Amino acid sequence: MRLVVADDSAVMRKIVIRTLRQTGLRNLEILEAGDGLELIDLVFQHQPDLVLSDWNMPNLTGIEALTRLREQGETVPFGFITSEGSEPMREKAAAAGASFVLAKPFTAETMEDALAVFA
Amino acid sequence: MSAVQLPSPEDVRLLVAEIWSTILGDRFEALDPAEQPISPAIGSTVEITGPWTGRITVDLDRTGADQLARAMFDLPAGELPADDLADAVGELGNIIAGNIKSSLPEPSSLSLPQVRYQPQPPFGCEVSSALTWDRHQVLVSLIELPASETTSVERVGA
Repeated sequence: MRLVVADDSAVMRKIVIRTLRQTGLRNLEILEAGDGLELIDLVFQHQPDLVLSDWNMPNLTGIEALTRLREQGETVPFGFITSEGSEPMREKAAAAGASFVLAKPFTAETMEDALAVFA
Repeated sequence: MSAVQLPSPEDVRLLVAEIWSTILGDRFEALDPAEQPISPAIGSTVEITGPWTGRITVDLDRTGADQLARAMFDLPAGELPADDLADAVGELGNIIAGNIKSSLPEPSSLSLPQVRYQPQPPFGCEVSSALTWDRHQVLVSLIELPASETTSVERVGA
């Protein structure tokens, strides 16, 4: 399974990847992006099975990246990992085409629940 | 001063304790209210713009910040690059601010975290929660600002 993990914080990318490896997902190939622009480049270059993205990033936010992907016909499953998961944000994410919003801090269990449909 | 209901210092303590526990596991003692004045050396500032406009600051003592960053990066004892320390402190501030924002009225926007190597002056502080763990200290403050004083690019979410 090929994933793109996008977050402007290197430590948060490391925590996300560490937690992913604690879930039941196997054969993970993980690509890292530091902002929404890199995320889009990686999606078109590598055709991942799933994108896990922070919401608030410099240069291009996660929601802006998702909107651009969908505008270009890219249907890769997309989930947000963000420090706040208010209902308006969840609604905005769903309207843009996101599959889920996982709030920070998260555990291997909550991440596994969010990703169960992709296992 | 706005009429927005802010979380209490105890609400903030419980929130930070949950974040500490989830991110860092059970390697640290529980977070308790600090009885001594703290001496912060590094911190982060995140601005919120909305029905409540202000700054959320998270300040740590140097060795406590180092310990947290090592735990987040899963690094053993040894030299910690300054960029990694700043990244970890900024992300902690981002997570705390994002969770506090979730308790505030919508619509609100959150800035990217700014890392500081000097304590945030406490002037105008509305809510302050000073906590200790394993002989280290963390101070979380909510400081209301006039909307014209915010400096960061507005972004929705975190």
